[in-house]
This record gives sequence, C-alpha cells and structure tokens, in this order.
Amino acid sequence: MAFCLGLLGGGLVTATVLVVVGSLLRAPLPAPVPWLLVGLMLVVVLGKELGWLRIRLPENRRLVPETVFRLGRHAGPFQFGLEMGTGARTYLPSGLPYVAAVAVLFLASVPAALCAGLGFGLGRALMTTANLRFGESGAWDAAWTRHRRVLALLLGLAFLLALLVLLLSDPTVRMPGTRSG
Amino acid sequence: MSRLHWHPLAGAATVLALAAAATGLPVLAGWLAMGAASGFATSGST
Repeated sequence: MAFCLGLLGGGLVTATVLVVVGSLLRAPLPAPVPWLLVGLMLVVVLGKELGWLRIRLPENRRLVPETVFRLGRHAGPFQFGLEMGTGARTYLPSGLPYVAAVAVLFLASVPAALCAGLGFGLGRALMTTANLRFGESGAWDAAWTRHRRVLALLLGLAFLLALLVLLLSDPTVRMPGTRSG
Repeated sequence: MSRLHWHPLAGAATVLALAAAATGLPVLAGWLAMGAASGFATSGST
C-alpha cells in the first residue's frame, strides 16, 4: 500500500515539475508548435521501438538502492515507490513516458498534468501489483516477455487513443474541414 | 481474483479500456489514460 501511494506521489512530483518548467518554455511558442513537438517525440520513440533509430533516450541506468528499506516498514516502501513513480530514478524500458512528458511539458494545464502524473503512478502500481499477485517470482516478467509484441501494440494503441482525445479537445487545434467564425 | 486477472495482457486490456472510455469523458480522463498507458508500459525487463 505504502509502495503504491509512493508511486502515485512520484508521478505527481514529476508532472508538477514538468508543468512548471513547461509553462515557461511554451510561453513564446505559437499554437501549432507544441503539438508538432509532441508529434516529433512520438516519431522518435516509434523509430526507436521499431529499430529504425539507433539512439538512447536519457534514463537513469541504475536500480533504486535497497537501502531505502532501512527507513522502516512504511516509509521505506513509500520512498521506493516515490522514486520509481517519478520515472526519473531508474530504467525506463518504454519510450511512451517520454512522449507523455513532452505532452505535459508543452500542453498540459495544472489539473491535466496532475491527472497524467496520477495515471503514470496508477499504471506503475497496476504493473507491480499484478506482478506480485500473478504467481511465482519471475513468472509475470516471463509472461510479459512472451507477449511483448501484443502488449506493445495494445499499450501503443491506448496511448494514441488518449493522445487523440487530447488533440481533438484542444481549442487551438483546427481540424481540416472545420471553419472558424 | 484468479491468476488470469493479473496477467500482463489483462493489465494492458484494462489500460486500453480506460483510454477507450476517455473518448466519452472530460478531457482530464484522456490525460489520466495517457499517463496510465505510459506507466504500465514501463514493465518488463530492461
């Protein structure tokens, strides 16, 4: 429980930092540029996932040290979750959080950023809870590896669907065929 | 809940269902779904 709460807290911390920094960065940008940047990041991540681009996105290539558990029965797991929930403290095996980060950085209001951060923490909490309850140690990771292509497809689809919701609800975006005034 | 409920594919299907539901909800649900998809996608070995 404390671990999952930490994950949610970590997501909120990162989202808050991104929206504060982003509010400064986006100020001088004309309307289409933020979405172009999100699109560019999406293309980069897609290229990387499909093996077309040989690049390394920035990530903290370390595990969260087990010394955090010295903090006690509740504070230890909470801090462990908090550090994992930020998405900046350890490995990131997927490129999707980078696209989400750029979207929050350039597009999100404060409530939207907090929802994205909460969602990130929930996603990680679902992952860790499922992993623990699935069965013997390593079985969940083995199942993930076995179905990794289908999982990447389902999660990519979910991500794109959510991104489409944001795009279509953005009043600064005019779709072809729509007329203003 | 059975073991099947905790399978990675069940988790991914849940996230996809959340994103699908977000199409009919206020835009904040879209942000939540985007975060959830990216958070769950960070599973797997590195």
